Amino acid sequence: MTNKKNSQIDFESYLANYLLETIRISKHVDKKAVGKILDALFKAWREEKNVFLAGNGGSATIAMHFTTDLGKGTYSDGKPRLHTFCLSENPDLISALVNDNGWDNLYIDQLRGLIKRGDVFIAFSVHGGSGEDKAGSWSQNLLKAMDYAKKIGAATVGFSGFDGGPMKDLADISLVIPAYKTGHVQDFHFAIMHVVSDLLGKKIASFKK
Amino acid sequence: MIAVIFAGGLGERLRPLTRATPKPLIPIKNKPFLWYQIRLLSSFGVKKFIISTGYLSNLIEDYFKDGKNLGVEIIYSKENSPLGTGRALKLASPLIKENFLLLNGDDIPIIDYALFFAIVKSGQFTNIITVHKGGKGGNLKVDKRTGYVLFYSKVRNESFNYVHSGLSFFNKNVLDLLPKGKYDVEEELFNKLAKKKKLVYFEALGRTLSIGTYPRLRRSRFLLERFIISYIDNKEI
Repeated sequence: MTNKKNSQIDFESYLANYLLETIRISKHVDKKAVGKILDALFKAWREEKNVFLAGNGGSATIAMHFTTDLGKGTYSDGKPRLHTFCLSENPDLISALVNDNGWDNLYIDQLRGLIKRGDVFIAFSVHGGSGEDKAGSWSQNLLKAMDYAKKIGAATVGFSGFDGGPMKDLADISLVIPAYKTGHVQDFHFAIMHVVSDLLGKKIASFKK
Repeated sequence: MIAVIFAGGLGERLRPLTRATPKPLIPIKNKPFLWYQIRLLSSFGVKKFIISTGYLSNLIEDYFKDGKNLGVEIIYSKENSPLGTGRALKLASPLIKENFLLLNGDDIPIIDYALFFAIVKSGQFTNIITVHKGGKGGNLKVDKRTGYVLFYSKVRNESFNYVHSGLSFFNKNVLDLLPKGKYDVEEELFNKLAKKKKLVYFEALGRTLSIGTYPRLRRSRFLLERFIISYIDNKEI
């Protein structure tokens, strides 16, 4: 137990409120957008298209996790496997690309010559490309790649939070978590990613040609 | 816990909207801005509000009455002529018997409220102001290493990074530091406390939702509903 007298933060108060806020936010998640994401991925599976996923920082972890759950978790014996590729998980490739062409081109460089019409590009960005810090505006690399994917004719999906940033309008399917705290936004990205993976797995398993 | 809200301004930058409506009653999705402020703070256990009114005070009092409908207690501290936030706080000070939150009537800061209140409730700190990064310079010089505010400048200074987000938590003792006359609380009180290294800052998650000007009101109308749902139960909005 925390020693309330000497702690600078009331642990129980923070925990209770964080969880209470999570419950409230859960009631406002955009169900239509979740359905559209599921449909886009099911279509990609049926047509044996590729799905590319990317995110920076904590969102890289979500992109990686989603890649695994889509590729491994939705596989059904005797049926094709969903083709999933994470663009945020390979340190030697990432450092090579950033070294040569800079951070902004990290994802577009990986998509060039690879992504095709009908493929899916999924980006995770808490602020959706708004906001900035010492190195400039956040997540411009995701916006750049998304813009490229759209021009090629791929379906684009943006997971974000806060006000959704420019990605909200750029993505074909936009899921903006109505929360203004990075923790909450990412918690819901994880939850929705799991929901989509679970439902897609069921859909694929029960699909008959 | 108690909160003092400055709600007495003339709202001159929002004419003609404020000709017959005081700024705190300007609606966003059918509820006055002040309603959201009260509901937000009361969801963290603030049960008593001292609302400092002035311009069109009767309309505010008619709407919120004694606060029972919102499950809180509301007391009004009415100034007869606008004399700045300093004078308004001084006027309300006999009603303030404990450490208190202070909120600008046209601001809802975008902060991590759970964390802010967890710090307030720990009882280890008073004199905390919320701040966010200003677009071009700021009013506040802060020491990132220690967390202290060092100086407040009424005029924005290019070398300062932060501006006040609109909410603060003060020790009741600060009321003794308020002089007579017309002045802003920020300039007077922040500087007095900063000089003594008694003012700490709490960094916001983004730019405050404000209704002080038409562009700010437009932004708040767009964003407030999405922001507030973390703090208000589904059926209320």
